[in-house]
Amino acid sequence: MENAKFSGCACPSRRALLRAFAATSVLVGAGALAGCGSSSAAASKGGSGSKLASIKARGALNAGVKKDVPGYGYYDPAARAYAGMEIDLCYQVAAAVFGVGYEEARERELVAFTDVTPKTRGPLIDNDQLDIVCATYTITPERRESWDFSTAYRTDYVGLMVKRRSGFRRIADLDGKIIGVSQGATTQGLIEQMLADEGIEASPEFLAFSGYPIIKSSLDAGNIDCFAMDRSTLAGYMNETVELLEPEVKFGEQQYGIATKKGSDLSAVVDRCVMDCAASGWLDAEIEKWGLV
Amino acid sequence: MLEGLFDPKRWALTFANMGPFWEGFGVTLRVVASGLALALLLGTLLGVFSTSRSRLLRGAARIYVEFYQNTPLPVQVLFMYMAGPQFLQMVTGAAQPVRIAPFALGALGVGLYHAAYVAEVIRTGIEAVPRGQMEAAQSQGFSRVQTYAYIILPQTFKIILPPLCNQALNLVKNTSVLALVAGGDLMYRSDNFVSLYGYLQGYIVCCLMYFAICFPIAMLGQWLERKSKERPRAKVIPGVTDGLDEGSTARTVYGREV
Repeated sequence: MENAKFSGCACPSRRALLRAFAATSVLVGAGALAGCGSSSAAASKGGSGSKLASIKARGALNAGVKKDVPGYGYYDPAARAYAGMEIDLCYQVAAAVFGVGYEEARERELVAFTDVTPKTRGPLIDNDQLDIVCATYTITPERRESWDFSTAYRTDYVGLMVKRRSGFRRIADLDGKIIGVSQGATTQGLIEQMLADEGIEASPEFLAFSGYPIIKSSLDAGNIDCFAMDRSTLAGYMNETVELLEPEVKFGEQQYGIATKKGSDLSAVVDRCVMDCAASGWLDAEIEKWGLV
Repeated sequence: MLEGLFDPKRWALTFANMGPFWEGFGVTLRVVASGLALALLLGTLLGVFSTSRSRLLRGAARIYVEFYQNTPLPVQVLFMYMAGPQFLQMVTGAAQPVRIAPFALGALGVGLYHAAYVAEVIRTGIEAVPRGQMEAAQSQGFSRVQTYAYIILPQTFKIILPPLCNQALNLVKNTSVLALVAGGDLMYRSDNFVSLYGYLQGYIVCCLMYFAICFPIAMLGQWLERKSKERPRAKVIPGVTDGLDEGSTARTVYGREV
């Protein structure tokens, strides 16, 4: 814990605003680090040691991100680089950990990215292969039992993707139509709740599929009328032949947070960084930059 | 997950949610019935084609059999599922893609696939009866139809019965390919159950239900096989067969000493 200095999210566009609370953030950050000093001491008894120290010794932050969700985390094979809001956020976290500016963190490539799937993201934190997971990870009470989550950096909703050629204009048009959802997901319940809440007289049929790609191909083939999923996931399947049905109707809210190892000294730093990014308006700028709906 | 297999609470919940399983069971049964009918009908036709003298018919049957025998069933079903609606839209000129009901897709999928195997079973069955049988029967004054009815087909039946029964059983199990396209069959319903609750009990119930369909078919096959192996007995015609003692009919079958 030799580096007590804590740098806030240095966003170039909001430098003036930042300078104002940079001083406070140094104080609060130092407090936060001191506060988690005791918990990390407790954790080190279990053999995990200080996360912050090991990241600094390694020289890079190991981050788990999505590689197939454009706008959030997407691996561009042409550029051979990850891009998206969550990627930028990882650099912010790295900047906070190493005590450098955001631009410097990018330049020095202080983050080593690994792509994760819903199945792998938890275990990869548990076995210390990853320091943070920033991969459209919904915060739930059950998950909080196993991992530490930062403050939510993004709220996502369920979207209803339909083909343009089908000519649906309103959600009520889905009456008697077939909606494809993912097996084991809560989407069906969320849609039924929304229909009841909005007072929409429609009773669609639901079909559960084993994976996203087959739902999308079923939609393209014309076997189902609608593909319902988190909007972040749908974004990966957006093209000119499909559209979101009444995107202004927001339902099925879920909060995305950055996950870290339970009880690690990194958790407080990550949480502080997300809060700073939200306060500085950097998150809003990112959402606009990546065109997230 | 494994220790949960013996949890009585999980079993109770599984048995309380049997509705979807029975629905899936019904769908699977209907797909099996129509798929089997299609496979037997088309298979017999193609099998007869393969043994006909026409080069064209033989060639057509050959191409069909080789195509279906050498490509996987899931690919065939997925292809029909993905390409079908827009193909039908093109053919019928409808405004929207024409959907194929999962039941029809399943019956068509397994029916066409197993027709190829049934065709091979029928062909080999016909070819296994020596040509001499036909010539011998005709030399004894049997007409062509009589030869087939009394001499050739009874022998063919005996040969094809076991492999045909195998085909029926495989067809039942292959209907589970419908689960790939959310077809509402037994496999799909139990998979849904397992991914919803995380209880492997769903798969066990699924197995038992498939077993309940397959086992009677296997039994029927074995019974028919036993029955067809019984020695043919000469008809008792009063005044004509009275003179023969019973021993002589039992000792000779097809003129051979046994």
